[in-house]
Amino acid sequence: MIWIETLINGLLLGGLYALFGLGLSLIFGVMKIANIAHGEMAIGGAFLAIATANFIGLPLVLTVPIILLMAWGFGFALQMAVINRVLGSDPMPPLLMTFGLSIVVQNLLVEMFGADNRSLDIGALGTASIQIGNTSLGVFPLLMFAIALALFGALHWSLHHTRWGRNLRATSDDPEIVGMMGIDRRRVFAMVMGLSAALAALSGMMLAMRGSITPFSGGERLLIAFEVIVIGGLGSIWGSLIGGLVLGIVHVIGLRLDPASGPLYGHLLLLVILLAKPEGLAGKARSR
Amino acid sequence: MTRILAIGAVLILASLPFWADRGVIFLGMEILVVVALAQAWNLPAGYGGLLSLGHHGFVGLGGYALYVLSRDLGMHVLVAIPLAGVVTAIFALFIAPILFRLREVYFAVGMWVAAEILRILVSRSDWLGGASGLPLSGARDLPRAWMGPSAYWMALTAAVGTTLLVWALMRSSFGLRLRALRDDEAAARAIGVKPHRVRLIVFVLSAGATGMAGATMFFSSLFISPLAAFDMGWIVTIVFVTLIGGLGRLSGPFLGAAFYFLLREGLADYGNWYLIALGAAAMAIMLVLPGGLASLSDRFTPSFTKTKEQP
Amino acid sequence: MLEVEGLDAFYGDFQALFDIGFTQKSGETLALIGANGAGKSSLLHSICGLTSETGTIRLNGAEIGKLPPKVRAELGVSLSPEGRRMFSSLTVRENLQIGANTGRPGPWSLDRVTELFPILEEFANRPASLLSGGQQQMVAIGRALMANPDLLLLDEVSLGLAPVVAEEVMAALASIRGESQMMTILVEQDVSRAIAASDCFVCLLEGRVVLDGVSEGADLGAIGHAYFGEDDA
Repeated sequence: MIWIETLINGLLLGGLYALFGLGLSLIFGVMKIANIAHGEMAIGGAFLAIATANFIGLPLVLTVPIILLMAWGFGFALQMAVINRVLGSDPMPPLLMTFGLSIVVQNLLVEMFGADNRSLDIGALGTASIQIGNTSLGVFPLLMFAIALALFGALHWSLHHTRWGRNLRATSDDPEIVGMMGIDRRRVFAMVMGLSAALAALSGMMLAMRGSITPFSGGERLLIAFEVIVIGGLGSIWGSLIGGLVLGIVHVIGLRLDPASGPLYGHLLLLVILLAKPEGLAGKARSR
Repeated sequence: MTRILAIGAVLILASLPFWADRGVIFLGMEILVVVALAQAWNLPAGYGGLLSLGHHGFVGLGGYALYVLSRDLGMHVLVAIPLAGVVTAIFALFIAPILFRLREVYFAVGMWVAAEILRILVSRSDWLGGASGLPLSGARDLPRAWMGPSAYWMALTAAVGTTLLVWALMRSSFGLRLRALRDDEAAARAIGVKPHRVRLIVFVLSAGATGMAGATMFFSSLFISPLAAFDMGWIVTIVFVTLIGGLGRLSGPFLGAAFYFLLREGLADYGNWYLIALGAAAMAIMLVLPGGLASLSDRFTPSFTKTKEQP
Repeated sequence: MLEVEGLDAFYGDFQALFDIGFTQKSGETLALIGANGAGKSSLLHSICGLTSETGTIRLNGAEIGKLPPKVRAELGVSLSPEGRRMFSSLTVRENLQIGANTGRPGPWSLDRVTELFPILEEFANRPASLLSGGQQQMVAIGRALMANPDLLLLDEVSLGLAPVVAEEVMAALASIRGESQMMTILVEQDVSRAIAASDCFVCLLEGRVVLDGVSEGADLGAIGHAYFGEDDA
């Protein structure tokens, strides 16, 4: 019984991991670059939410959308002002640029909030649980999982049924020629970076509601997001979901068998996948 | 002329322990270690396009290798330091087949994961002192007064050695193949370059040099712990020093290290602000001066960077 | 009306075009001919804004030479690129729809394009990457037409197609020729086919205009000399 509960908890945690991966996967899918500051965007969003909710006293239902909007704006502006200028055939300048950003954000957070653990208080929701048979499941983890699934569904739908989604897929296919379709690729990139930043901030806030974070939590979040997309297979949003769920289950089982292991088994899973199935669990053969 | 100047500079640097005080010797050692680390990282990243965000794993591994060689094999530290580099290089040889399945940005982050795995495994190993770390048992090999100068000379050797290594490699046909590979892999293959072998060689050389520099650093501290050894701060310093100084340029690591230490010492009273300034400076350099500080003085330094076409 | 004057074009440090100049009247089809590497595609690309170029390009009196590709597209420049460049993750219908992104009014619509190329109706929901070369070429032309362009640029539309398919594509193009004020620039390997399908022609050699004129009754011998850069004086 305990194993079923562990498995379900892993699955629920995996929903959150999948969200971390989704934002990073979008960036890679459309621009073929990695955002090393993805984790810091998540943690930065969470810290801003903590500041708004705890210090200013705004209720969470207002805080969350405000932070999401701010994160979107930050991502959009970052892309327009900085990343677009270093985009080219070489993916390394954007990588190094976002590495610089991650260090700036991380240390700004340390200066502003100190290095202590902090969390976002969600009151009774944090401890509420429901009983199904013999297993007890937290209401909040279930809610997070539902939100993650809903977001994957919504993104999939809008990629395939909106003009925005069509333009985005076209830009991902051939960023040069889309200009002739009246599409400004720099704007598409900025929209994607905005969306990715908002997804990061959302997963960061969920993380801070579920447990606690420090300004140094960003690096580990990036690695989780990275593992999610490599394990799931690059280039598809459903790969991110599968990767997230698998990684969540592996983490929770690893922690149950070996409580001091931290993220070790997730990292090792990455190596195993690279050895056994480098194209990822959901991936077709990839070209690079 | 340049050679005479360079030899003169090395001789003056080598004499430093005889006339400077302990604080200066320690700072000099740190600077030289950072130069060596940046040269070692620049070799695959700047000249070969093989960029790693996990070289702090090699720093820590080199450090631990020194401590284990000294403790368990009773090796003299001055022998164990270069050997720590060899151990690190061998480790790199073994992980390369896995990590080379990742390319470009994925390789960069994959290396970071590898460094994390090392940190966690080391901090869980009782043999390696676990999370609380190890003292350097071989420290008694040397008279106390010679500890600082020995570490300094070791660091000087590492800095000069890595610089000469990169310089010699880039003048050889191997360097030509490496740069061909970075600039256009398909074209490089067409002229007979074996991408996997070329990358493997620079990766292993880079790991070895990084391990040796790491061992030098932790020799001087007489104590090693997983958090210090596998600190992200290493890779942050290495990347930004190289980037600010100039990716793929021999003088880059020197200029970048000078910039880094001026910033760090200048902002010593302001907590983490020097890191914020460092990250911001690196971003600014990428926007306005992609060749780094070294590109300001192109005429005086050998450059191996191709001119990028403007989009 | 398209007026090109003193156009130089560059890819990075490489100069592809030198002092190009020609004029095309509304409603006309212009054949752009020349050997491989003569600069035909480069000329189309610089009209689209996909190279860095200096000089003057005026479309219906408006200077478009300094504008980004997106704005030129909005002003009525449309390209069916060499190699077709399908959006591989989009269906055939989506590939066509995206051509209409600029929202220009005009006769072309999804229905009109599938009327011109009936086979596309059948494959509308397939990923464009699964179509044959000829069908992809039809999608590329259809996508360009969906923009209701004033200037339609067709780059190597019969390249790599079976002769019968190439004829089919050319016949479809001939059927819409001259029915509106739309200008067409046709890049085509087969010189006699290009001349037959056009009102006027421009011949390029090593990035320069070496001959131009009216297609009807054009001296194919002279064109041949210009094409190969032979000095027949």
